[in-house]
Amino acid sequence: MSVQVRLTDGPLSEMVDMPTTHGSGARIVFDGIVRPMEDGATIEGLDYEAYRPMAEQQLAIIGNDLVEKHGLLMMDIEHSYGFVPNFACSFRLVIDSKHRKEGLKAMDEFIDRLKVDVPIWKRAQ
Amino acid sequence: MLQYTILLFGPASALIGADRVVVQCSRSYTCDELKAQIVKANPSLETHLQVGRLAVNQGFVAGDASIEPDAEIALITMVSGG
Repeated sequence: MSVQVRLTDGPLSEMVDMPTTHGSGARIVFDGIVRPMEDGATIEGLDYEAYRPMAEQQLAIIGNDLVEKHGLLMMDIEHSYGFVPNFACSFRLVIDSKHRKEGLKAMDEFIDRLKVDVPIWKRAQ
Repeated sequence: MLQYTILLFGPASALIGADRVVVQCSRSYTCDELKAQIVKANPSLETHLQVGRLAVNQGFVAGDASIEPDAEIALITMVSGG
């Protein structure tokens, strides 16, 4: 069981070849994409400010909690800081699990906790 | 005289146009006491303090936790990552 966390300056690149973890029956990938509209107004993109050392710690804490709770095999977490233009990816969560159920559940829980406990702020540009 | 430095981010930083605030003190405060002192010195931050939490040395702390002035303290307001 492993959890990797990365904070990346700018938009996330296409997902690199990441071999599935031995024993995986399911790989779930969630990409968070910057929408062209925010609060009803057209935007160029989002500028993410992160309290980076704590953000990395909180992402790892949440990841390790959920890997243990749901018996997952691997979780790979990447979030942007800085400017991310429309239609680009600013957050990616990859989960390997034996079965889809625990992977899907953990995915949802992770994102809920991310939006409460991880010190990252977005500002429309 | 002791001094607390509180890092600000996001909306709180944008509101007062600064990335930190300083609170003078004669003794160590608990988290709740420090939040009250921050509002006293910076009334415009009150709403952020009501919904926000303090992080000490990069970890959230409870309201009754005692905070040392030399700790790394940050105000974590409503976040919006993801």
